[in-house]
Amino acid sequence: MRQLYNLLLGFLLIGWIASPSIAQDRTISGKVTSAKDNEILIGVTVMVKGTTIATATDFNGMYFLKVPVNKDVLVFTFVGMKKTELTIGTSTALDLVMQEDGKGLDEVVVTAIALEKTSKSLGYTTQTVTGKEVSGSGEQNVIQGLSSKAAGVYVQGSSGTPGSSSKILLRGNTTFEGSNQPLIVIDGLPISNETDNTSASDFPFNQNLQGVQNGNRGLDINPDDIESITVLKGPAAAALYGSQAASGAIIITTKKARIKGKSKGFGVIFSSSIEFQKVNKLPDLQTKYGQGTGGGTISNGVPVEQGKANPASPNSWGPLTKPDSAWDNMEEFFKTGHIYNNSIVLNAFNDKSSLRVSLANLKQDGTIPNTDYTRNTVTINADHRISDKFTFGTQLSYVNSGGTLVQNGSNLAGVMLGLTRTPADFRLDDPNSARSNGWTNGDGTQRSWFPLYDNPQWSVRNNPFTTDLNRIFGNVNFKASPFSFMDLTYRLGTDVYTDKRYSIFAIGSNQPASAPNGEINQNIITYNYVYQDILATFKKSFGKDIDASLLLGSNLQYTKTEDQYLRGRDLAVPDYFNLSNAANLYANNSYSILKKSGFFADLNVNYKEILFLNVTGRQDRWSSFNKTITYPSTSLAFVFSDFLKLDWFTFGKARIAYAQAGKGPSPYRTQNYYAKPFFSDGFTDGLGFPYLSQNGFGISTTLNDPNIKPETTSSAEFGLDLRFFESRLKIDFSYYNQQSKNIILNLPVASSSGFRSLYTNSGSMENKGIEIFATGTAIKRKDFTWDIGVNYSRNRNKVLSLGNGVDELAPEEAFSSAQAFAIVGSPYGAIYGTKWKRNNEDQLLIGSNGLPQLEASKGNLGNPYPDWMMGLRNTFTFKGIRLTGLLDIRQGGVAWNGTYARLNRLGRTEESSDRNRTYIIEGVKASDGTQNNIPVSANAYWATYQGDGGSYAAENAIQDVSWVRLRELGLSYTLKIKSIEKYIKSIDLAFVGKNLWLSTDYKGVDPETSLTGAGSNIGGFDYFNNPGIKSFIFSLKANF
Amino acid sequence: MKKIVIIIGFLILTIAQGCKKFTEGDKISPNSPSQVTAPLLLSDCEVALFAAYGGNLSRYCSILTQQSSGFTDQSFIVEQYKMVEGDADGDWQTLYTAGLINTKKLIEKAGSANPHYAGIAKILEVIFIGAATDLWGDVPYSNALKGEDGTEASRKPFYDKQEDVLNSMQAKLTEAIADLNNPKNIILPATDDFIFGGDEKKWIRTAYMLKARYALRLTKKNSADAYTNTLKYLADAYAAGLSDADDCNLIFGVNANEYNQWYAFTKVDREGYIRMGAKLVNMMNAISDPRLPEYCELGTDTIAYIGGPAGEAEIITYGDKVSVIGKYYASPDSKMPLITFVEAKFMEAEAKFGTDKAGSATAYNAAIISHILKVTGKSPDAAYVTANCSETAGTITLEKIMNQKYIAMFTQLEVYSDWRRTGLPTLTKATGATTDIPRRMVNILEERQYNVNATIIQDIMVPVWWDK
Repeated sequence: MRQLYNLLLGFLLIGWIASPSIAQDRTISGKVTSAKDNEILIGVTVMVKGTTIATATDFNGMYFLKVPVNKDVLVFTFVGMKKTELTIGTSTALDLVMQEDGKGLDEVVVTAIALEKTSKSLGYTTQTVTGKEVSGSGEQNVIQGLSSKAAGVYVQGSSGTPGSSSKILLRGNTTFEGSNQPLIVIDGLPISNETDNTSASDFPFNQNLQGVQNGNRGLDINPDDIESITVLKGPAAAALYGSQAASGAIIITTKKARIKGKSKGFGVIFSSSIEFQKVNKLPDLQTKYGQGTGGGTISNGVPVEQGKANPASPNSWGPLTKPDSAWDNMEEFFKTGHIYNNSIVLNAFNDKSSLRVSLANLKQDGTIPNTDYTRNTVTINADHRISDKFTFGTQLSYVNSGGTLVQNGSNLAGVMLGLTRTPADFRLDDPNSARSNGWTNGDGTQRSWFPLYDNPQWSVRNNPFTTDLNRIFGNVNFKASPFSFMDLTYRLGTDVYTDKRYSIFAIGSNQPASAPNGEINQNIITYNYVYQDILATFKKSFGKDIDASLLLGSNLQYTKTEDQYLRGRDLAVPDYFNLSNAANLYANNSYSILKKSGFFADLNVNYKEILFLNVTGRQDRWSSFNKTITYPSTSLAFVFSDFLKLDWFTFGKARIAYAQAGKGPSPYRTQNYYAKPFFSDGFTDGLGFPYLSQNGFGISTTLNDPNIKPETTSSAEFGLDLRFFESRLKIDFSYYNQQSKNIILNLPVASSSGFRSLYTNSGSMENKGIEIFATGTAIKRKDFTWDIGVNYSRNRNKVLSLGNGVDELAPEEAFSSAQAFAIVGSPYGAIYGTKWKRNNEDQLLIGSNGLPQLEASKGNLGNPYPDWMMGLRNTFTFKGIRLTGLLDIRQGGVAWNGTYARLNRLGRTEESSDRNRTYIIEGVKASDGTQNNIPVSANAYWATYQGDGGSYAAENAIQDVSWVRLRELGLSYTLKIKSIEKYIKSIDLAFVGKNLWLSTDYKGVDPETSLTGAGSNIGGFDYFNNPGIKSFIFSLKANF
Repeated sequence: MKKIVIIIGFLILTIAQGCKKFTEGDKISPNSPSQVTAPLLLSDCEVALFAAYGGNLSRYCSILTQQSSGFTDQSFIVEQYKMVEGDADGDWQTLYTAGLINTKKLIEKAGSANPHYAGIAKILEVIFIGAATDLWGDVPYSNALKGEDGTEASRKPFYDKQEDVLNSMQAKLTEAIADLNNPKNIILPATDDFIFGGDEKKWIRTAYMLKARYALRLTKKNSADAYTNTLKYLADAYAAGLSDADDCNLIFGVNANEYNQWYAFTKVDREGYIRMGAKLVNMMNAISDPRLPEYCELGTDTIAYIGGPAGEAEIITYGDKVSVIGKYYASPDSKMPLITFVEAKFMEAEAKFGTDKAGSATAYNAAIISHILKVTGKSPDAAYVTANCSETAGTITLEKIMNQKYIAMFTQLEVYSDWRRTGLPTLTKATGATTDIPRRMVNILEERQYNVNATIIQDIMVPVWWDK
């Protein structure tokens, strides 16, 4: 740390002590007008070059500025206009006619720590998505709203149910077990995008495989409050965040009331929309055969089509159904979902202050009955310029959100599990005289086709999971310019939420198996976060050609999380869901505090607007490790087009960057602890404490490393930013190579050491890839334009090492037959499972029973991440009408479709209804290598070869998830009626269709699905996941 | 200007120093203790034992010896001897990272001041390592459990030869007996000891029975020595007061987290995976054994108890007709025997068989009668006694001893060791199986992956040292 002080002090001494002290100032004034229409320009920033002294033009387009005597250049900047420099010389009045700039070369980009920089000066890639694009997608989850809108951004929704999570990755995975999601920053404040899970400490399995799809906390952001989102794709762009920057950052800037170029204003915007949602894709099920066993077998060499009815069997290998008693239970189950979105925004501003207040209410009912989600948000943005030297601002959001979520996945109460397994001859919702509905018997007990599984109609009514979240996040900031060469910024922010969750399994539910007499769960999750930045920016020009700025910053962060879990089992009074109704109570709680401090510097040198050099450094100290760690970064941007002087070649920049960024360890991992254990062999819920009223503790099976430190991702990046024909065509290309080292993981150790893992720095991984995004205007007429935007990215991830002697490990538990692994030499998260035996020619080896044989060891079954992704947008505008379509193409990647395998085994898939025959599996006989000719029964074929019965291999359920989808189709029209313009400035009418078309070979629900959701580091699992949706949105927006 | 720079520099330094202080503290978890007490550790070790001996290993041994039958899924895979590497890793983890590491911690915690805790911990240690060596042969022991040292070597322990492990176990039991005979204790185990409530005499008797069990294990190596040592240790046990009231049992409770694991498996979590096996049920049906209603529940459509023939589970004619495990072994809070007076009597019968047939017959008859009384709550009727437990020097056979022991020791790991040691009762491999009945557990995947010093035997037909 000391070395850094010395360095910085040195910089200060050399840079500023040498400067002559401030002499007399002179006042310069002038008027700024636009070359386009000769109108005056209000709000143009006028700055003394090499200082922070600045002002803005007033209502009359006039500016007055005190300029130090040793300064001679004024810089004028205004959105949409060319940045202009004027030399003062001896004049005291300088007027300027500003030229329009269609090239967008001076766009300001909000980068790390909310620092604004011109895009031209950046030596690394960033990509900005406008708030309009996000809210225009119709997505309520900001993260999902980014899907296919920027190159290198991987977004994976988990399901179409209300309040479910979406996961985001930038440039792939950099760590094995910690979060791989980027930092989410709103107006300079990092906010939580956690996906909090509800799981009791005594639950022996991975809760991500079952339960409900909890939302990621990014869900709490009202998309309509967003002005723009800058995607900082890698360590180079996010370097100033140090130990939190390895996965990049998403920088969100919220809307302000102020409109550039106007001195005051007041407006009210009312918006209202309604969305209709339908399930978009479901597994193809048969209605030909009913519940039972024995069908699809072979007797004396002859296929037996029908089996015997057997109400005690979960199988649908029974007799043919009768036409009047075969049901499509899915058709009866799913309904049309709705989202109603209403909001009012107030905007008020004058030349000193601005205030924007937005109130929004979202109400959703899902496609699954009794699921809903509500979000109320209040967002306030205000700023006030106290004097030329002092500005105050704040951004504050209050959110109340929550709803009723639904069980999914490997779970007896899971909706799709019950729904799809139900035989066609059992109608789940079958009211008759003996009972009022299909899911209860006359006596009020559950009516189910099989004693183990919950009737989903029962489940959605009797097993609700509700969440109620209250959250406040926001910051206050003060900016001062005490000296001509220095700016100070102070920012204090907080993010606080409490999420109260209540989950009920009514008496008579099968889930959970260990609580046959009902269960109540209560979980309270609180998150407390405080963030402080103190920034000092120094500016200086060296001669005529070199401008430099140096930022020094200090950052403190405090995070406290708490989790309280209460459970009551063995309920006595039906429909009374208070813990006092439980005979058996359990509780656990935990809290953790993590403190972070950082100290950073950001040096920018600009040579003639041609060469831009950026050097940064950050030192971090956290309470979760005992060391100080330093991250450097440097980047260089070179504008070479200035030398070419070609008419059609508007702008060309080459950039190169190198950076290091990290990921810090979890708190409390520098020493070993005891833990209250539970013992499970994976088949039962196991044994745990308190046991027969006694408590127990054993040494934790995880060893902690006292020398743990953050992992480091080093990134080298090269890119080109090319613009042609007055920026009508823009192409941005990047290549990156990211090496992550000292990755923090629970390194597995042999249990004979007494421990199962060691939490330490071990392992390395690389991500290499390219990102291209381009925009172009194909046709530009007076009333008609056709714009095309495309983004393409591919990322190649490879696990390089895990640890001494460790070639593979499971970052998170999944299923016994199919897991997600980190395997040295393979992409991270590869599906790992059982395989069929094959010969050298890759042909299946068929056993004497006609079925392929199981390989003794498991292996890599495929990579769940895509080979490449592409987003393609076409927008047509004709007068006030705008038509836009966004195609989302994802090529490659696999999922383990456990749903399909199980449904084949049970004889529920349409394909498995082809059973009045025998099958011969392609392959060679294991015995003699000749072509296989041994027939197997339909049952053996579907249950084992295509299913998960008997000696099956998980590889048979691995399916390609490639897709092409029309993610968004939008049609909007802005209506301006002259006669009422005084009252209503304009009315926007819009239609948005989401996911209206999907093309994929995947068998089952929409392949954009994730059982484990955003709270997990693994993906590619489909085991009775809830289906995705398509929707139609109609909206109206009135500007008053 | 200079002043400004100095002030700013000073401010930065102050802020930086403040930051340094800011992150100090909050290093120790408020959620987990750094130290715990001996009673907490003892309860932990015992529940780990209930999990290790009552869970998967018990079901595994029971299916392999055809006491029960694996009907579907993973249980059917065991029935077909198609276990793959990694299948038993969870059991290995329970033995080492739940059991043995904590008996070690308890021995350290007890120190010399609390020998009763140390003695119990040593007996538990022997029980844990005993299961490991019986099922995997050479296992890490002398060099194991040192992960806290933090060195690379501490995480890759060498394996000990089974012969050495067995010798160490006998020595450890001798130490335990001495500890338990030491009356000077600061704290004494009580309710934290689920098995015996801190009764050191019962623990001493258990230690002698264990000595006898592991002495008898060596019949294939040197049967005469094995029998002599067994009888010597049993004599010590009787001299220490061993009676029918001294059974060392696994203790379970009525709450879901305390369930008997056979109950949890067959009635709650994995219904239908395992049912009774034909071998055991047929043996008991043949003698109209009064224990049958306690062992089995009637199947769906029959009035007779039916066991599933090994490997034929998927044949539809059986299905739900086959009995599931009965209430004596699979109620929520059923105890499971670990080592008992009945086993001691059977060991005595076997050890005396070569030299003292009359004594052997007496022990045999006593074992059966005692077990029936224990299971059914009443003594067998006269007809049963006449037919089945009135053996004499002239009628007693080794086969009868081992068959009756097989019945009496239902669900115990010991049955699999007995069968490998004696070949009794006679078992035929399961229908559809492509190999013979395995002689060991499938190898531990994580030991192969993470421990270069591990002795890995992947062939489940390779016998352990004492089975050769």
